[in-house]
Amino acid sequence: MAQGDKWPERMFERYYDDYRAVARAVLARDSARERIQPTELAHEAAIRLFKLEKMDVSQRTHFLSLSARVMRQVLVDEVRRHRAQKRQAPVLTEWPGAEPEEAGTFDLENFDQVLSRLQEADPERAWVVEQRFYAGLTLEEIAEVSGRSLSTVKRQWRVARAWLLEELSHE
Amino acid sequence: MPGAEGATERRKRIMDAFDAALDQPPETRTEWLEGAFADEPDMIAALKAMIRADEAPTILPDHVDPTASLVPPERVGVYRMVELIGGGGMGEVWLAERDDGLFDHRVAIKLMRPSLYSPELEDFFDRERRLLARMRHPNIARLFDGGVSVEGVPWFAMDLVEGPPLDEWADAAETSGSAKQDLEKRARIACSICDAVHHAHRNLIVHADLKPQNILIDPAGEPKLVDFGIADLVAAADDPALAKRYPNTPTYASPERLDGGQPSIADDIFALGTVLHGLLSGRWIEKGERALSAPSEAAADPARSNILRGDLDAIVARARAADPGERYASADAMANDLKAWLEKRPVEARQGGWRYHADRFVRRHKWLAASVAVALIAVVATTITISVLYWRAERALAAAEERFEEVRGMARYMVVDLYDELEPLAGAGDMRARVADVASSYLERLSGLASGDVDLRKELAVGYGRVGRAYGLTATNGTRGFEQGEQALQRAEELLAPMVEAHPERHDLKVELSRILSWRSSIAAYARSDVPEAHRLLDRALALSDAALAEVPGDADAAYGRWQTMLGRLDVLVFENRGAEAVALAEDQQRRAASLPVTERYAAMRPLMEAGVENAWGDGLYYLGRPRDSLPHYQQAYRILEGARERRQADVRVRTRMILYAYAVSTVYQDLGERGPALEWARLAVEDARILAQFETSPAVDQAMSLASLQYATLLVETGQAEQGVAEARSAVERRRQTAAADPNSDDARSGYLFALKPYMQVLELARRRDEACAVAREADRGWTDLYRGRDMPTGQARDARIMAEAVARCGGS
Repeated sequence: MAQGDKWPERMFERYYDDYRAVARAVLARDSARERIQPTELAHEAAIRLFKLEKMDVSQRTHFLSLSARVMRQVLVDEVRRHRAQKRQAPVLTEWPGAEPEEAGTFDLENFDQVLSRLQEADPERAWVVEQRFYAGLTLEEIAEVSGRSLSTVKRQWRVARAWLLEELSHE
Repeated sequence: MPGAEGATERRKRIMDAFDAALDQPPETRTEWLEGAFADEPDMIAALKAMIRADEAPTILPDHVDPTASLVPPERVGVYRMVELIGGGGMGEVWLAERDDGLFDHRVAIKLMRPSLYSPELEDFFDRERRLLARMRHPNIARLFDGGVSVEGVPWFAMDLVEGPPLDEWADAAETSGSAKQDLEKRARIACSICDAVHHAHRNLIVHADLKPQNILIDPAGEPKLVDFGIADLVAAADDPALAKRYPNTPTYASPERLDGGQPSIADDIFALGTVLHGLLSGRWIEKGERALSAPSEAAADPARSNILRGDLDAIVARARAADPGERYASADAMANDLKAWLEKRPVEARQGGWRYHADRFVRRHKWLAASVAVALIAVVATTITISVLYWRAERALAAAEERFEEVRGMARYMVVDLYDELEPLAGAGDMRARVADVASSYLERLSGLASGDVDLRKELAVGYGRVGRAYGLTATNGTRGFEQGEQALQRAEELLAPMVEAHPERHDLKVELSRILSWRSSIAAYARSDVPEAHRLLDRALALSDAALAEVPGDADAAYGRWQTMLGRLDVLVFENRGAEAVALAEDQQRRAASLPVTERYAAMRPLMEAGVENAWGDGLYYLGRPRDSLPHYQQAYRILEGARERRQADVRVRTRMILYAYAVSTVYQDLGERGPALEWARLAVEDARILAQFETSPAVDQAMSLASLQYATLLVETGQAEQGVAEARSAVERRRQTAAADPNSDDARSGYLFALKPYMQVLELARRRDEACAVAREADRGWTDLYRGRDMPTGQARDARIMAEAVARCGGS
C-alpha cells in the first residue's frame, strides 16, 4: 500500500471479501459474549488488511472514513448470516465509547434499521453517525474529513444521538 | 401542516426542532418548546423524550479545536493571483497571471469554497477535467487547468473573458438601427449560445447554472459561456459523501429542478428560454418570479412587441414549457428555430407538427424508461429463463405435455412483480421511485442527444422487446399474455429487421435483433409448443450474432448475445428431451466460456450464464437417465453462484437461482434414495430462501420459498420426522394463503395457493394423516371449482384440480 493517499471506492470493493472474512472471524470470536463493537471491527479489518498502523494520521482518518459504508454493509450481512446459522440469536452491540452500564446495549440489526430511517430523514446527521459508529472516527476527525466545522459536527452528532437513543428505546 | 407530513419529514422536523431547542439554555429548554409547539402535543412529547435521551450519560468529546478560516492563496499552480474580479455563492474569481516565465498568459481563476482535500474528490476532479477539456467551442470559455492549492482550496483556471455579462451588455446596447435589426443581432447571439450549449450536451456535460451572468460578451461582440460543468464540481466538492447538491440559482431553474430534480438537458433548455426571454424583451426575470408573460407583452417598445409577437414568442414558450417533454429536445433544435426566424423560414415551434415531435419524444422517453427499468428490475425475466423452472415440473410430473403448463404457471408467478412495475410505468411513469429516478436521470442526460431515426427506432424496438418479454412471461389465463408478448416482440422485429438490412455496418442492430429472436423462440417453444419454429428462430438469432461477431470480433454485446442464444437452444433441447445433444452443447459452451470477453457490464450476468450452462448440462444428463452424473453439474451451478453471491450480496437473481439449484440437487439425491444429503440440500435451500425473504418479498421469492419448503417437508417426513415435516409444509402453505388473502382479486395469487395445497396434501398422506390430507384435498377441489366457475380451466390448473378431485373421491366424498 505504497500509495496511501489514493483510496478510491473501488479499492474497498476489491477487498470486500477480505473484509467479510475479518468480520466473520470477529463475529465468531465474539459470539461467546454475544456483543461486538463495530468500531473495533473496522480498526481490526483496517490493521489486518492495510497495515493501518503504518499510515500517517491523516491517511488513516481518510481511509477509515471511506470504509465506513462498506464496514456497515459487511457487518449487517455478516450479522444476518451469523443469525441464520445460530438460529436467531441477536447480535448485541454497544454505543461507541460508552461504558456498558451507561448507555446500554442494543440489537445491531435494529440499530442498522433505525439508522437507515435516520438516513432517509436526514442524510447529513446519519453520515456523522455512520462515521462515528462504523469507522470509529472522533468528532474532530469527522469534522476534518467532512470540511464542516467541529461545532456543526458536534451538534449534528448530539441531535442524531438523542434521536437514535430515543428510537432504540422503543425497539 | 403536521397532519399531512410523512414519517420521514416528521423525523427531520423533530430533529431540526431539537437542534433549535439546544440553542436555548438548558433550564428554559422545556418551557421554550412548550411555547413553540403549543398546538402540537405529540411534538412536545417527542422533543421531551429526546431531551431525556440527550441527558443519558455517554461519552461526548467536548474539547474544541479552533477551526482556522482559510485565506485566498497567493498563487495556485503556475499562476499568481493579481486582482479579485468577482465573487459569488460558490467562491471568488481572480484575475491571475502565469508566472513561470514561460509565456504571458492571463487567466481567470475561480477559487471554490474551501473544502478539505480528499483523494476521492481529486479523482472526481481528474475525471471531470478530462470531460471538460473535450469542449472546444468558440463560444465557450475553456476550462484548462485546475487542482487543489497547498492550502486545500480547489481552483480552476479558465479563459479570461474581458467583457460584460449578457444582461449588462443588453441593457447598455445602443439600439442603433431599427428594432428589427437590433432583434436580429440578439437572435444571432442567442443562436451562438444555443450552439455552445448543444456542443456541451453532446459531450454529456450540462451547464446546470445558465444565467445571463454566466454569459459574457467579449470585445468582438461574441458570447462566451463560462462556468460550464462547474456546477458538478461544486456539488462534488461540497460534500462528496452526500447526495449531490447544486448551486442554487432558482430564478433560471426549471420547475422540475426546483422540485429537487437533477440537472438535465431539458433543464438547460428551460434556462436558455428564460435567458432568451430577457434578451429579446429587455426585461430580465426577477428573483422569485416564475410565470412570465410572452416577450411581446413584456417588451416596453411597441415596435419591438410587434416583431416579437408570433414566432419569437413561440420559441420562448416552447423552450420554457412546464413539461420537459414539450420543450425543444435539444439546444440545437432551438438554435435551428432561431435561424429559421432569421432566415424567414417557418418556425417549428409554431407548426402543428411540433406536437407530433413532442409526442414522439415523450413516447420514446416512456419506452426507454420502460426498457431501462425492466432491465434494472427484471429480477427474473431477462435471465432466469423458463427452463430453470421447468425441470422442476419435469421432475415432479415427468410428462412433457403437462410440463409446459406447469412451467407457464411458475414463470408467471416469478414475474408478476415485474408486470406490476411495468403497468404503472406505461401509464403515469409512477413506478418504484428509486428505479424511476435512476432510469430517468440517465434518460434526461441522453434525451435530445440521440438524433436520427435509426437510433430512435432501435430504442423503440428495445422497448418493445423488453415489454414483449415481460408480457410473455406474465401470461395469465389462456394464452392472451403470450400473444401480447409475441405481438410486441414481432413489432420489435419489424422495426429492427429493415434497419439491419439498410445499415449492414451497424452490428449493434444485429445483436438487438438476435436478442429479440431468442426471446421469440422461448415463446414459440413454451407457449405454443412449436419446437421447430423455436429452432428456426434460434438459427436466425445465431446467424445474426455470428455476423456481428465476425465484424467486431471482441464485441461483448455480441458475444454475450450469442451465449444467451445458446442457452435458449439448450433450454429447447432439454424441453424436447434431446438430452444427448443438450449435453454436447453444454460441454461446448462451457469450453467457450473462457474466450468470453471480461467486461464490467456483464460481470453480474456472467456467473448466472455459466451456472445456467451447468444446470442445463445437469438437466440433459438427468433426462438421459443418469441422475448420478447430473449431480456434479447442479452442484457446480450452485457453487458458481455462491461465488457470485459473495461479490454481490444483494443480487436477488443469484440468490433465487441458488435456491432452485440446491432444490435440484436435493431432488436428485431423493431419486437416488440418498435421503441424508437430500435433506441437507433441501435445508440449505430453505435457509437460503429465508435469508432472501428477509430483504426481498416478491412472488418469485415466495415461489422459490414454497418449493424449497415443501421439498424439505417431504424429506423430513420420509426420514421419520413427520411432526417437523408437516409443520414445515403447513407454514409454506400458510405463506401462500396470506399472499392470496392480501390480493383477493388476483387469480394468480389464488391459484398459487391452490397449487401449493397439492404437495401439502402429499406430505400429510406421507405422514399418514389421512383425515387432514382429505380436508386439504376437499379445500383444493372446492377452491378450483369456485375459481374457474363458468370459465375454461388452463391445462395445468385442470390437471391439478383433477388430481385433487380424485383424492377427494378416494377419501369418500365430502
